[in-house]
Amino acid sequence: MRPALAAYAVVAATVVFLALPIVSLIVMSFSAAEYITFPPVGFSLKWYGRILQLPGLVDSLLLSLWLASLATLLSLVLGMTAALGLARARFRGRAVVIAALMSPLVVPSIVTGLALLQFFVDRRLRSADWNLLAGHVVITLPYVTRTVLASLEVFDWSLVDTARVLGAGPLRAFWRVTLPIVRPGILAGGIFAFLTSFDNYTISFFLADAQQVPLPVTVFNYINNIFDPGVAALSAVLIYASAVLLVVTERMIGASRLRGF
Amino acid sequence: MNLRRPHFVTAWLLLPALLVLLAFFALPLGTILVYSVGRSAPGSIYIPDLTLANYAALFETPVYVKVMLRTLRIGLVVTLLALVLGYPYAYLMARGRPWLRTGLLLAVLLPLLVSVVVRTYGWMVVLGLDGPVNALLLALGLTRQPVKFLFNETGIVIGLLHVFFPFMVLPLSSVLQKVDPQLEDAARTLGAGSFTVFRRVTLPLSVPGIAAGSMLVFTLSVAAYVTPALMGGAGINVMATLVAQQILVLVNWPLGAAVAVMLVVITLGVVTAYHRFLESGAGVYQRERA
Repeated sequence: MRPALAAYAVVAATVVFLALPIVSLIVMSFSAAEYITFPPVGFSLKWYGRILQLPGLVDSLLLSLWLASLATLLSLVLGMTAALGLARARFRGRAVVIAALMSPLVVPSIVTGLALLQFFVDRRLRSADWNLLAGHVVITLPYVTRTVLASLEVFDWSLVDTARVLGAGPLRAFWRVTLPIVRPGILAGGIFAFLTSFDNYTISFFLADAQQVPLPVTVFNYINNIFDPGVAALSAVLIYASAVLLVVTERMIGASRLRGF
Repeated sequence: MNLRRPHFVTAWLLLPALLVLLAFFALPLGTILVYSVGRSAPGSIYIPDLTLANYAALFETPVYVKVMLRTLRIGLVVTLLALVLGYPYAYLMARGRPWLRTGLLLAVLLPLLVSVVVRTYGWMVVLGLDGPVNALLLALGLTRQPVKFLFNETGIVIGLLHVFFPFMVLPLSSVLQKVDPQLEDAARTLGAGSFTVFRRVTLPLSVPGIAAGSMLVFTLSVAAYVTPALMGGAGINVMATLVAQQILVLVNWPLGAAVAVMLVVITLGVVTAYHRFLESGAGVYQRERA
């Protein structure tokens, strides 16, 4: 076999490998059987109809949506502010500041989760939702800072200077010139942040309490305790949501921006 | 007209983010260090102390040594597999026809956007005793008994490979995209066969991508929790599941903290080695010139 042909064969097999668990869950979600079996028996949409009856699902979903939205919003504000501070400034220790802002990416999130748990217990901070929010801001902040900073590094600052010369105040120049141009970077950072928070398990399972259980923790518990295709149907819905998000992102800012994820 | 922002504005802009990270990241990490040198006792999760006993226990207790070695082994195997499968993938993603590039990019991005918990569940369904993979193996007569993929290291490796594969492919393909095809053409014109061109031109030039991808996949695999917890079951611990077990089940917070600190040490070690390598060794050009 020619080397090029061998490479194509390996890549084709890899695509199958990448798709296999995702496609299997979608196939299983249409099963009519009471248990997960292969090949799936019959065709039915009944498991989709029962998703909302999974114990605690609605609360978990709402909590995760709230958590991801708030964490993203806070990270965007903090991250954009920091990126603006760094973008034009050249000072000693700039590299150290950037490393500090990126450091939550380097420390394994299981360690961050445990650290926050021990820290909150030490200080008797027992409000699970605030603790979760703090943890999620810490892990989403670097993504926003990094993508916004990256788009500011290629931003032509003379445009702002021009706006200022033409009489715009600093805020107006930011609002009308800087912001529209770096918007794709902000969007990409926001999408990373939202997904990172929405999918996070490791921080959440340390910080959750009995009432405040984010969705990934709930799904994890289902997997260990529920053996019917209902969990597959829920998983399939989450997969459809990801696919929609990917298409929307591709249309809005180009999927290749998600490379930095 | 000088429009350069004065220094104090920079400081004020940086302050909020740095304060949040100080309060909810740096201080908590300090707490972990403090716990890791403390003692545990029945009835109390932690007694302040300055002892290295927890670290000593990690390196002297055979069970813990086994867990750490298993974690590193899994990390290495996953990284190697990701590199072997990821290189041709990244190559085609960088050099293929436009439709192929887009297709491969989407095929690697979609799994990345799907929650790790969901993807791991997918593998549990696929690799189960009565799952499609075993059905295929049985139908082809390759095995007479269903193969046990779950609740052992094989399952963990397969799951982690899927979860972290994009982190190998994405940096690798962006480096390969930057390799000038004219260099390969030049080598070919000078009489090199396609394998020689690959080995002497493309491969050396893509070393920074290999290093970046391997660093990411290794550090992520070593610290992963969800996939080993679901696919390894109760019997097969890795360092991350050992942390959770010590904290949440055995309530030995000092020992759990020590394992967590070891994870940070491993991660920082690999990241530091990577940066050293970039500063010195990635100068493949220089080596070729010398």
